[in-house]
Amino acid sequence: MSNILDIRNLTIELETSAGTVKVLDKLSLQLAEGEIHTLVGESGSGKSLLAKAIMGFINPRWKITADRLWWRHYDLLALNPVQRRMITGRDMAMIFQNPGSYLDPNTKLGNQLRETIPQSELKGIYLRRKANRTVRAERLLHRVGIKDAEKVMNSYPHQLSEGVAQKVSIAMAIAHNPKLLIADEPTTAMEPNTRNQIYRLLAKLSASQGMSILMITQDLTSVIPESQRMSLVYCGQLMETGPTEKIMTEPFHPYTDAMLQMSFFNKELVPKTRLPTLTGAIPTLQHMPIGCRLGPRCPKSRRACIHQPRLSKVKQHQFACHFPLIEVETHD
Amino acid sequence: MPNNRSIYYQYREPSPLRSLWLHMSTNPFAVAAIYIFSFMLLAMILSPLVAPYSPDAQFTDVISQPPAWHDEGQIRFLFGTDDLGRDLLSRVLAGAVYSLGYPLMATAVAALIGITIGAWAGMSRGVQSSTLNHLLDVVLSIPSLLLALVIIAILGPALHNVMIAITLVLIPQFIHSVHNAFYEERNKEYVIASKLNGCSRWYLLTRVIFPNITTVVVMQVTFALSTAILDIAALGFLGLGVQAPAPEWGTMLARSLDQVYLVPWTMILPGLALFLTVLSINVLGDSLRAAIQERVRGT
Amino acid sequence: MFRYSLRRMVLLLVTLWLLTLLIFALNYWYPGDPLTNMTGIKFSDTLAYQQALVARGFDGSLLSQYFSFMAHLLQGDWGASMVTEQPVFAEIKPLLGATLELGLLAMLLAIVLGIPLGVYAAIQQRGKLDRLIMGLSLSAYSIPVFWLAQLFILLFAVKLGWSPISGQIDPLYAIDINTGSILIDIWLSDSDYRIAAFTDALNHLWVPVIVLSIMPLTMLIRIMRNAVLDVLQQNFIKAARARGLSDSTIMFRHTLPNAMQPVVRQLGLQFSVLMTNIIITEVIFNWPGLGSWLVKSIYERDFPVIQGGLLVLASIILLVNVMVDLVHAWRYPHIRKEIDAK
Repeated sequence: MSNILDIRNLTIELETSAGTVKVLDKLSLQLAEGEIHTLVGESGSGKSLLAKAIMGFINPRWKITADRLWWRHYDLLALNPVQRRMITGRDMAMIFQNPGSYLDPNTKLGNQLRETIPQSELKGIYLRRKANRTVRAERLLHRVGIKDAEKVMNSYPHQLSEGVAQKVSIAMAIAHNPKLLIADEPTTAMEPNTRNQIYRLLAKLSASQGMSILMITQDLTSVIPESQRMSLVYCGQLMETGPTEKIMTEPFHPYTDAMLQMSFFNKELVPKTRLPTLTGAIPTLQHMPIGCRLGPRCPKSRRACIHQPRLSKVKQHQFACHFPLIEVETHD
Repeated sequence: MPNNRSIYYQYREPSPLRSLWLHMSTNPFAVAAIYIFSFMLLAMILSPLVAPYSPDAQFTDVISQPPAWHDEGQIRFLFGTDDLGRDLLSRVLAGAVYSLGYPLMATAVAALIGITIGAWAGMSRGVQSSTLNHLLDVVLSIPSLLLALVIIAILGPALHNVMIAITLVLIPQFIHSVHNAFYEERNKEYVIASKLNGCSRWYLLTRVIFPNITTVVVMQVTFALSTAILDIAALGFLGLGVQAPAPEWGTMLARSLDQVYLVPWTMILPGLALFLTVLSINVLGDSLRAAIQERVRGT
Repeated sequence: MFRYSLRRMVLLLVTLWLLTLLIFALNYWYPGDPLTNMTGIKFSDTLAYQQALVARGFDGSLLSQYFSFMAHLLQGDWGASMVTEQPVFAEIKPLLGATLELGLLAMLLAIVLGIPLGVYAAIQQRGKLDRLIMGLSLSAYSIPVFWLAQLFILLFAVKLGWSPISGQIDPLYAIDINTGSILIDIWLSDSDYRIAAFTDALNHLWVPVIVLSIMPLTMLIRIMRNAVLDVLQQNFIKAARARGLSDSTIMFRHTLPNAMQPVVRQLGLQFSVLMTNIIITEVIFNWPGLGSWLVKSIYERDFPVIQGGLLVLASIILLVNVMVDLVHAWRYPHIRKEIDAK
């Protein structure tokens, strides 16, 4: 499998009142075709910013630099906004948290859904195309598991539950058969039942269409079993990336380990003992430590940590730490 | 703080008032508006001292004198004289008391009464509150000037009646906006949380809700002030407000209407004073609102 | 929607009823005799006064007086002017036509110019033209309408001579007043000089219309600009871009319709502002409308006329506000939900 998305050392700097802040610091990420990749990061880790940078929702005040930001054969940073919009519009799609706010409140969902169906996929004269659009819109809704398509098409966003609204946004997202779907915390603030439905739907779509999904979540509990690979980000720095199973069972990075320790996966936790957590709190944007940003909170940190560690590679598994949990031979 | 700068740069959030000022002072229009408004206030307070002549003094030898820069102008009448030979500059300065001082007074009284009633109504619930709302809808749908006209029709045109009319007209606006603001805040989580904490109603009213509706109050005060100025001037213009010899700006404009061909300058100065005052208040209100919004969004 | 409309209509009826109560009460608050204030019949006219006393229920309780007041009001018997002794109701129709003509034209001008300019300012945000438009609109919004009218007269009528100083039409054309709206009256008349009269009427009309439209125009520009900027920051616009919709689709299908929402909501308020200004403007331009009529009646303490004018002006404003509310709720369904939730 080849990588369709290849990001090397992506850095995003924001201008704030307290000077320039690196929100993303040399982040690398590769995504293969048809794979589900989960990006785990706590709030403030810059994970949503990464999604925006890929999609091209770029604020002119951001300074984006990267050794590589490639989508298939295109160097996204070298393209002008119009070309970029064309490529992202054709190949990528995104779904969001709070799906309700991402739908036009004053237009019926049917109309919103119909207009996302690309003109090029419709044949015939005007009326025929119009009818075709409706049929295709209904089919899309069926595909995302909405049975009463007609009713949904005739309603306004405020009349739907969040779960249904998310399904509709998925339907819109897959209308033009994108190669990559970015799901930015698609199920935060949803009931567990709905959450599972959405996850199953996404996994099914990925399997049936060969669509890659970049799933962005806050914690390890939302990592679905279908996810082949995952990455952990802390304060804009990549901590560890690799096959999901490997990371869940044999993490190299202290951060990953801490995340695992304090999640529900930790079955060894004795009742009524303290939950093992990292000391301290996530630093604010203005107060980022130098070097490895986990440094001040890391149980294993030493003097060397004031230099940012390079990515070490063990088979498919990569991590950025001077003192990994499992000793490895670093081959430079 | 170049010298005692510590290793860690400590970012200190400015206090709400200070951050408002920081936002305002970056906006050149707002700063200009502050200067203009302060100038008008000063002119109003100092008008008896700085005015070169009494506003009613008539100089029969210099009737309809053009401004000083005109060929026929004289430097002792900087902005010229009107058709009765009264010095325009003195009249406009003295007029500030009528056209700015009285509206300020009316707004203050109306704000005091209106906010009190509005807060009380906002804290009470049920029929009482909704009846009030509907009644206010009726009163507010009638333009303030029309309402003032009706009150003048009852009381007769005179300065104190205009004050009563304008104050009465402004009160419902205050009640309405404060009541609505309270109504919106009352059911928000933070208020419910304080209520569950056992705060008294008085505490809820003054310490919990009121700080959160200052935007509304500030906006309403600036809006009411510009309404009051314009309405008093409009009534004066229609001859239904402050009566003729008094140098009220609207009344002066009404007088100039008949002579616009002959002595256009008698129209420019009072109008300009009125325009600048209202403009500075509107700009102030506008930038204040923007600054408050920015502050709320920024945190 | 039906339920909402019904509720709004009931509310309108209640409001109008409250308005009649106010007008009824005013008769007692005005100086002088309530019956004279109501009917315009003077005490010196003994016979008519005695008849009116009975007809208006003044021999009975206050309640019966109110009922007979309402009965007369609904029959179109609004009393007679104390000065001209003409029936008020009959006089109102042409005056109303003249006022509405002026007001609606000004509103139309404001909408037609204001919305595109607002959108343009928003797209050019912080550009030179945006600053210019916003600066102009803020200053224009602060100009007292009577001063603006004077400046316009000074400029266009006195200095440039492009338009007459005041009035509705040259009386030489002898157009029969029918609806009160001069343009419609010329259309209906069989005068031989219809075209010339039409030009003359337009010549008289354009200055007051522009004067009146400046205030709502500047407000509309500001509201529209802020609304467009607000909508452009909404999530659904970003999502639409992410879906690869074209810029024009996003603009015309999503941004503009949503940005129009606050504009529609503001139209009622702008109309009220316009009606205030129309009172003053009519006085300045000698326009034979409700406003100048009302002001004249206050000078003359002509109470039947005052209450007639007040009733009509207030009802129009209420009616327009309700209509705007209905349109708003019909076009923007999620507003209905918020209203129902209240």
